[in-house]
Amino acid sequence: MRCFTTWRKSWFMMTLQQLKAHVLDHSAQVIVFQKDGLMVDSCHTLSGVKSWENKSLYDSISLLRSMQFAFSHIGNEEVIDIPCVDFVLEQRQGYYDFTFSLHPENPDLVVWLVKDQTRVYRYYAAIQQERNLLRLEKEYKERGQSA
Amino acid sequence: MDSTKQGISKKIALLGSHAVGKTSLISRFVTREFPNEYLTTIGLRVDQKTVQLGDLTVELIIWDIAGQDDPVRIPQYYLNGAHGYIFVVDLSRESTWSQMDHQIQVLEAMMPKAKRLVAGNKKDLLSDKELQELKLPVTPDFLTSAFTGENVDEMFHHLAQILVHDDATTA
Repeated sequence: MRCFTTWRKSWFMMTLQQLKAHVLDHSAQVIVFQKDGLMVDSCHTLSGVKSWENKSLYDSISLLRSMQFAFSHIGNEEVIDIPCVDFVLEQRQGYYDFTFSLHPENPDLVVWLVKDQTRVYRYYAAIQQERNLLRLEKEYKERGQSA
Repeated sequence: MDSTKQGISKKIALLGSHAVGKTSLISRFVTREFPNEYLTTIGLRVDQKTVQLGDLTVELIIWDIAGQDDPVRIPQYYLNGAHGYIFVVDLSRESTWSQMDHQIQVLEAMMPKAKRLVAGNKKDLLSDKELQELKLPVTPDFLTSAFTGENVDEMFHHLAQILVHDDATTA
């Protein structure tokens, strides 16, 4: 009980902004890169991404390489949504939602928001797997009956 | 995005209903392996492989998109910028090809510039007689088997050739 009270107190000492930042730190990362792919900055909250520093992300990440055209033509208000990507963020294999938009203060830079949704999508994948297997089973059974 | 240090780079997408073998075809092509068990793909996974066409090196960046009976539900940003796509059906399951003409029509509207191939996969599950009797609404360009590897490399190479040829004619 005492521990619980201490824990609660430590949370209550945070402002809501701090609390939000704390939660987001464990689920999201922002990476900024030039339109030619050169990584400029990262908040490193999910992964250190050290191997990408001062390099073109296009050389390391085929998904981004295949989107170069989109980045060079991205509109001021446009947000490119690429949800549910099975991806390895450095050593972290998982499911991520990606969004790309122009930097609000510098349109030469692209802001890549990486949201780790692994827990949610793994749950969804298990359900989808079960559903698909049931559909397959049903189809094969129907085919067997009609043959 | 066409030019890379090595040569030419092309984005292609694999599309079709669930469990038609899209991921297995990619796995066979990229790693020469056939997955032992069926695992549903959700969302998107990207692989890449380089193919040699004469003197030309072509990198294929392959977007493996979760099976979807209704292509309209595929996020448009998954498809944007695709140079080509392979629409895959499972020859042994009519439900995966009975609506294929309509599905292809929808995909053409979503990717008007992309080149298309149609793959009739799981050829190994049908006898020659059954294959001859099949009446698909759209004739597949390739009859493939991710399990045996039959026609898999040929199909990806053919698409690469089409894309390179398209570049040459539009240049």
